[in-house]
Amino acid sequence: MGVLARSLLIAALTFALCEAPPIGTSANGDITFADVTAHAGLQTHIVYGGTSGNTYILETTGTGVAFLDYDNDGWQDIFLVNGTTLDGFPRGQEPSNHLFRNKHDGTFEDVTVRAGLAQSGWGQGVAVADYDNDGFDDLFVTSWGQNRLYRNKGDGTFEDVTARAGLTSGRRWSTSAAFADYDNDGFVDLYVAEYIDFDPQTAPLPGAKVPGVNCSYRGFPVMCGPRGLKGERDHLYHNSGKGTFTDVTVQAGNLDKDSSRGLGVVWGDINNDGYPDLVVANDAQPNLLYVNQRNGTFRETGLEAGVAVDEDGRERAGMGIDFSDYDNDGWLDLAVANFYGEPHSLYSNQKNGSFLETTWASGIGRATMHHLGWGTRFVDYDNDGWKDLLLVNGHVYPEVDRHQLDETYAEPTVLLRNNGNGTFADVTALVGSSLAGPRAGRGMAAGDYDNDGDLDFLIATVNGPPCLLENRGGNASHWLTVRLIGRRSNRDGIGARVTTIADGVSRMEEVRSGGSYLSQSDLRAHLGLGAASSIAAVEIRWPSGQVDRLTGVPVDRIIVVREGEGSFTFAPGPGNGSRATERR
Amino acid sequence: MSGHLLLLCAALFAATRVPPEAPQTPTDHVRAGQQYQQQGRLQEAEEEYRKAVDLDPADADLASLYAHVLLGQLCSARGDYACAIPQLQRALRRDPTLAKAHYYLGITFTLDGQKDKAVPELAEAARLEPESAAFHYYLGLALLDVARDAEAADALQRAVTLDPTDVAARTNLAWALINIGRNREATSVLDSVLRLDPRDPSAWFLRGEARRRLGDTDAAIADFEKSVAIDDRAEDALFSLGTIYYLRQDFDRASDYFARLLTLDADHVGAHYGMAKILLKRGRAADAVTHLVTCVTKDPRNKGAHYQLAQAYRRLGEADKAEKELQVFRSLGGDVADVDAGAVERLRKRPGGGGATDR
Repeated sequence: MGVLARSLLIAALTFALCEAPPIGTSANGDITFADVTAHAGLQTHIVYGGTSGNTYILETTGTGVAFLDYDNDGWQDIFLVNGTTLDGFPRGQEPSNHLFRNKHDGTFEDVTVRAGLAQSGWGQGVAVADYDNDGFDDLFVTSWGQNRLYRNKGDGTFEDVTARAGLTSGRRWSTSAAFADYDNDGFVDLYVAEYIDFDPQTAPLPGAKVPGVNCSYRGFPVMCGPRGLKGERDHLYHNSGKGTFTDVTVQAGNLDKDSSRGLGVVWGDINNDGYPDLVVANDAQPNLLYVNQRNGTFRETGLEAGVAVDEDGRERAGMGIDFSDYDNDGWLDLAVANFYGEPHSLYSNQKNGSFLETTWASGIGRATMHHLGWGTRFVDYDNDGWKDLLLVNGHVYPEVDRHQLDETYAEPTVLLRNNGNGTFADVTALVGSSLAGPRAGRGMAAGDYDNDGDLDFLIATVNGPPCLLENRGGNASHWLTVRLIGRRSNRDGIGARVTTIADGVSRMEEVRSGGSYLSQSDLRAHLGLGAASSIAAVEIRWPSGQVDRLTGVPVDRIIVVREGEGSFTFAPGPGNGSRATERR
Repeated sequence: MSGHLLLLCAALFAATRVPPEAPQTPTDHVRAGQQYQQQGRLQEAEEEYRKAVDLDPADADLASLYAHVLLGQLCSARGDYACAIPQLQRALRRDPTLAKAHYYLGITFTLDGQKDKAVPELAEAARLEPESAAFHYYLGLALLDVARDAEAADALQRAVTLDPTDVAARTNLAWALINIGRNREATSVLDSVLRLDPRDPSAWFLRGEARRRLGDTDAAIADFEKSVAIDDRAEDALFSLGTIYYLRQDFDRASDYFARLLTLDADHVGAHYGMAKILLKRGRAADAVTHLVTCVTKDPRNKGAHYQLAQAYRRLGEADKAEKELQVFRSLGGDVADVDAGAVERLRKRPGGGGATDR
């Protein structure tokens, strides 16, 4: 063989190696995410704090988003939380939250005013659940200010029932909230993370020299905090089942007694005992893991369980958070988004109440060190049966763009594909340019808004438009989406566990309110099935303890399951048009 | 004090040929002192300057003013900062425009550990003589010492501009740039340093550090290994290599580097800690405990070691010991006092040694 031929051969081999897909990538290489925000009619602007710099930390946290089906038509609608600025707006021109109704054709119509949801202020997060079990999903919206509980009246409108429900709080800085039925009495309860005891009249200004308070970043003055700023105590509210809530923060185990700076909340049954446990991501303070004692109280075990701090004992700046079973072993694992220069954290459930940090072993550490993370969600975007991880990023200091730093205010959103062997590969560059951005991202929700069998993403930005990303090609592999309707359990089946058995593999998803960051994802359980063309069984473990086992469930359908009936119906989606029909 | 300062001192006053015998005026004593100083007879020089000062308690004579400066410089050189500081301050009360008095005073404050006081003196020296590369250089170092890295970068950039051949200024500039998150610029500066001195192990280490922070760990490893190849005692580079391989889950290589570090410094807490984490990953909790106990013995406030020790004891089934370690861990509290610690990873040790004695 001549030298030239040999060189060409080596070059060809080298090229082939460079072009090799990441481990595990097979038939799913054609998936892209298209930015359909404008086409969908989500032409609004999220206002939040300063654009070139921030005076207070209040201006940094941004807002959340939600997928919900408020009109029970089987299609995910969209709710966007809006904020404001320190200067405020003339009366009548304040930015408000938005509700967009899904028109079933890829577009949405703004029904905010008609729905009675035109609230303004320093909005933060949103959680969705049918708190009164009347069959219509309600909204809980947090803010720096008075949080609001909006009861869905079932006629396309909502009423503010905050006071009637006993949720009048005065001015607090509430961030993420999440519903779950912690005592399994059939009504969802509510956990609200509180961030900082913030008062602009006394808060230090950028660059201030206040002992113990961080007011500079890399040598230039920035808004002060979070380090050194006093946190605010989280709240757990018990749902009486009669339309009211009672603050049980102390009775339930003296929760958050140190008033830590909470930003992310997620419920999940970490020990498979049928009772939801809770993790709170705290900013520059240890994360908290509350293990449900099954008697109305919780025990905080974050440090012992290995999720409070990193392996070197350092508190990370926890923001977004999510539970899912990324290794398909039947136990919930945990992901937490952190600050720039810290890796986002991944914790593998050790099935004994503790977690093993797998941040670096999984490859997530290397992929996320240079991102400041918020929205966090396990999503099987390619329906291969392994939960991937979507991370929405964005810096807190707009000023970084003026100081020739290596970091920027707008950051890329990152999609990490689960290789199925405990590791993840960064596939952001492989799914089109729309997903990456960059953007000053904050809240994020996942949901199948077009009912085509793959998960789409909705992202909130700071001082920018929302971003709706349509998954194109994710439904090439098989899938199943399950909408639960509780009878003895809470109506949405929040906390229920849906397990599919297909091709001999069990895959599990838990229905969860909240999670990610300030946001609410599709309450339907979505499970990728990979190449499995049939499902041997679907098992639903309800919060009530009821276990329903379904057979004959086809793949690639959206089904509705009512607790205790042992049957299912089809919901709008592929193979079923836009109308629900009874299957059997 | 280094010869560098002596030379600067000599430049302040023209050399004289007046014999030391029978001086009568402050000027005579200053000249005599300078002659002694040039001969390296520093004690006799100091005595002459004291005589000049004593003859003119009101500091009326310009010579006695200089005598205060020179006395301050000599006192500082022999480590008597309590002597040096009042002499220099007295000269500056009489004439605040004496740039070199500010300069010596700033350096003396640095050497005396009064780092916050050093910065304004050196800043004033640099303001009075903006073309002095040395003044900007030392101002930069003083600013680095008080973690004012962005300002340090400006001062050191000025020093480099004034003296492009100054490798130390470039290296410290890179250090400052790394600390303020301008790693691409730091890499470029270090490229220039390595062109000037390709055998500078600290420059290889720093470029590795900048590249690591940019996420290019392969390039970082190459630089760290170069640093170690030049200086097999380059502890920072060995530690970084151990850490990178640990994070890559390449525990064999990580272990090799930490072990090498421990042969150089058996008390290296970071190396013991790294070894312990590897042993824990390998299921050898009892062996990890040995290293971790060393860590907490030598550094009782090492939160990571207490935390890992708790994990190790738990794996050994020693719940009481585990809980005790967690209690210690909790008692160490958060890092509110070190407010930047969670947000900015600052390099531990400035290249080229500390303070004003590295020139």
